[in-house]
Amino acid sequence: MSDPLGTVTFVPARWTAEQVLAVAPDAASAAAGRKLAAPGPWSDTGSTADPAALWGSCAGSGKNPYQTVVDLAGPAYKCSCPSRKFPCKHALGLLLLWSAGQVPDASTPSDAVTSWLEARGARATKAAERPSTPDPVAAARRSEDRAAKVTAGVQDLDRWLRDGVRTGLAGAERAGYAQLDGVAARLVDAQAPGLAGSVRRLASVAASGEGWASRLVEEYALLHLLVNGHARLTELPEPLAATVRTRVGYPVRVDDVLATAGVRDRWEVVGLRDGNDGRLTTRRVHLHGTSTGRDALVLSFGVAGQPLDASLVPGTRLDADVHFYPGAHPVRAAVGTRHGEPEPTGTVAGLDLAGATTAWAAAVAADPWTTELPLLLTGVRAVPGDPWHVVDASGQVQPLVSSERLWTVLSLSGGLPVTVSAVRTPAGLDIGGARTDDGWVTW
Amino acid sequence: MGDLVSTAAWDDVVTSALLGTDRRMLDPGLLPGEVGRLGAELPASDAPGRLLGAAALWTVAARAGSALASPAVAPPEPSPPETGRVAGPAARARLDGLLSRADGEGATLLTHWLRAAAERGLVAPPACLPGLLELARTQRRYADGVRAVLGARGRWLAAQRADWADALGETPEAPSDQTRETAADRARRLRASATQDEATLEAALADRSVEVRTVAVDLLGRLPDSAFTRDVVLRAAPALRIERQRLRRTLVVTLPDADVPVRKPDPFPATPTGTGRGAWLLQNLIGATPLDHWERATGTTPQDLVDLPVADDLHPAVRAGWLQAAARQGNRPWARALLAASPFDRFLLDVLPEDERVHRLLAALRASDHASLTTAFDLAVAIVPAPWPTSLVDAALTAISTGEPWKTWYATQVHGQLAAVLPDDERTEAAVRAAALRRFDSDPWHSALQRTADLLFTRRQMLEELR
Repeated sequence: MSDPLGTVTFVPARWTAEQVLAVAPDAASAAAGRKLAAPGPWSDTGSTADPAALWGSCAGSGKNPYQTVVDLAGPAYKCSCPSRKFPCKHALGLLLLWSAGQVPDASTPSDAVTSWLEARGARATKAAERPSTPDPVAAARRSEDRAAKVTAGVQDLDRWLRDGVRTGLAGAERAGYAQLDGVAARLVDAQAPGLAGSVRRLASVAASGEGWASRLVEEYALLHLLVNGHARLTELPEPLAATVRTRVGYPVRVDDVLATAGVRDRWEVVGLRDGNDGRLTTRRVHLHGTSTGRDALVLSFGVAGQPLDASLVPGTRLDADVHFYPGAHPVRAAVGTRHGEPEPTGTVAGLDLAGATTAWAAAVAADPWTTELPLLLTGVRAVPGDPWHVVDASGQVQPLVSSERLWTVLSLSGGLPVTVSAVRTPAGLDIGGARTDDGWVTW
Repeated sequence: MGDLVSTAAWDDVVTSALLGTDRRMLDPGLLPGEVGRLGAELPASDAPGRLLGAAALWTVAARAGSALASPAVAPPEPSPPETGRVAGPAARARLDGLLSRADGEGATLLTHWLRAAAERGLVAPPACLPGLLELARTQRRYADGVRAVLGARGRWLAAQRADWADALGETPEAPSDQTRETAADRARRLRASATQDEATLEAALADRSVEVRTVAVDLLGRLPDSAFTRDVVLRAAPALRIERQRLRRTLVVTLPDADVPVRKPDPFPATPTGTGRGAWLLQNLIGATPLDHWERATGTTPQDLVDLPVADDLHPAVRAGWLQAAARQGNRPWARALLAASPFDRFLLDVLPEDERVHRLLAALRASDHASLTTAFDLAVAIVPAPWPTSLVDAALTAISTGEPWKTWYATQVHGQLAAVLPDDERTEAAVRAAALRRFDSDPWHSALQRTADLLFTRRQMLEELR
């Protein structure tokens, strides 16, 4: 158990504590769940393997205990407590207790559990039976309407950008967010949410302190480029047109992406980062194809309080078909058919810093709006400083985006060359994970 | 691609954008290299478009082409190989969880984890080291615990950052300059030395601090043949004798002359207000006299002597002297005799062997009156080291769960006390839960005891993970 070179074995049936905590909607729930992970408050607990379910009663602050049920196949959670988070702290505590082997096996679930599971099954079947191909005529009309609206919105933005540089951006730093919000709102109405987001970000660039003017001009210029691209959409090669459409904000249905040809490989999960913009939580999982050497970013979303997709676990490898969203330099992907259970990690090889530079150049050349490129780097040593750097065997040096977690990279590597997963940005490498003897540490 | 490092051209672009093309035109053809060439092709009639187009060309080219010019940097020397045994993945997950908690119970468990890991010779996994070092830096009370689980990698990592190295560098054993030692330090050092060297102790008897002098008298209590003890006995012996008064054997006291101290300077503390000087000296002399002297002088047993009435209301002084002597000399028969009237005297109990101590506490815990129960429990927590024997655990839990309900504020305090002394095994945990169930659900004792049982459960799991 304490051998650092020990092999990692998988017991698919029972979750590990780490897997339980991965489904927690936020850190506060995880902490509250841990506190409920002792037998004291729980009574009448049980679990069955088929159906895969887990249940129990938890003493709460009220008179009656809360009834908690977990459908392990989904996973899905149900609890009579008033919390709006899923899974709530009771479900998390119960899962942790189960994970520690403290929930007895039962032969059949209680009636309440069975009826809930059956109701869930019925809802799932109904959803699957709903027709997925909408009426094609209506769809065509909707898409024409959209194209017209977006075009008008883009032209509007074009005028606004030009007016800005004609009269001078010097007022931007002082003007603040109000004017930008109006422009962004109009773009949302024009069904161009991607452009709306870019415009909203101009506010933070203008307020970013030293060097703001240079950065703001860069952003205006790239927006102008995007506007130009949209105006000449039909002249562009299809991959670049797809990139323009995506960045403007045309929706792409994941079903359509999954219908394209996938890339089958043993995909290693090398990074996992959750972001929160107040309304939406976004989970970004970095996959690296161990044979193809390709990198992909899988995005999933959740409303605050809802669990995020926890099927991709850092330190595991998945034999699956990965389908890339269309674009000039495809990075975003969706996982399609999985050809088996996740396996433990094995050897991975990444790029050196020269290779990283080349990859970045190629990405920007294909998609000029690239701001994030997932990469795997091998043989780099971390150098503390302000800012930190990485250096490889050839002596190449690259700066890193600041993060407290860089000390973890240094600690794990012990100063020796290490493999890390990173996202290359215009400002430098943003390291998101480091390879250890028995897997990945990600943040 | 031309020289992109020169930013003067780009500054020009930015300036034009800031001022506005209405005021300041830009000629993109003046930009270096390919950007300039392409820029020159942009339509001149559309000034803002031209500016933005040139800026776009520049931005994309700069981003794609830059190798992010960086200075030469020197990576740190790699860490020496880890010689310690690294805690396994389950223990690591536990430590991660504890490090992210901000509550009191988490803090207790974290201290427990650090100690248990250090006792097993384990070192913290590298992924947890930055968290532990930050903890030691921001909360110094963890510094010792963290240092104990660092290992080679941890010490190397700490050395990479000045504030971490500082946090760990302070060693509590840093020898203090002896000339600046305070009296308290001297007293502490003397007591820790437990010296039996008469010369050292005679010198300490003359120390200017009463604290040090008292420690000297304490230590001389173990040396019945020392000059000091013989001098004390010379003054104490004539003070007590047994006489028959009104058909009862009584201890008659002749107060010693308070103007003649046993040593110069007077080794005993100054007389407190409200106490006669003679009685005070008597008490101190008896406190420093070997107890078997009284047995020999009077030919009676300790119990008989303790039970004797004392003339002239001097019983408190005599008894206080005997209490002090029994504790100093570790005299068990006298301690037992004195405990009859002072069953909760901690110093007397300390003299007895552990099983006898526990036996007496058990009897006290089974007593029916509420006041004795709480005193006995507090005393047990103070003097019986963790982990408690089963008999004591059961007696305490029975007292708590079936005795008169104690005040509500006490429940939380008892939870903390129990958590510190109860063993972690399954039997104890089950016993605590059973005790909890004997109280009504709404009783704060019920939840306090459940929390105690949960704590034992968690600690046991932690130790499992550390194997």
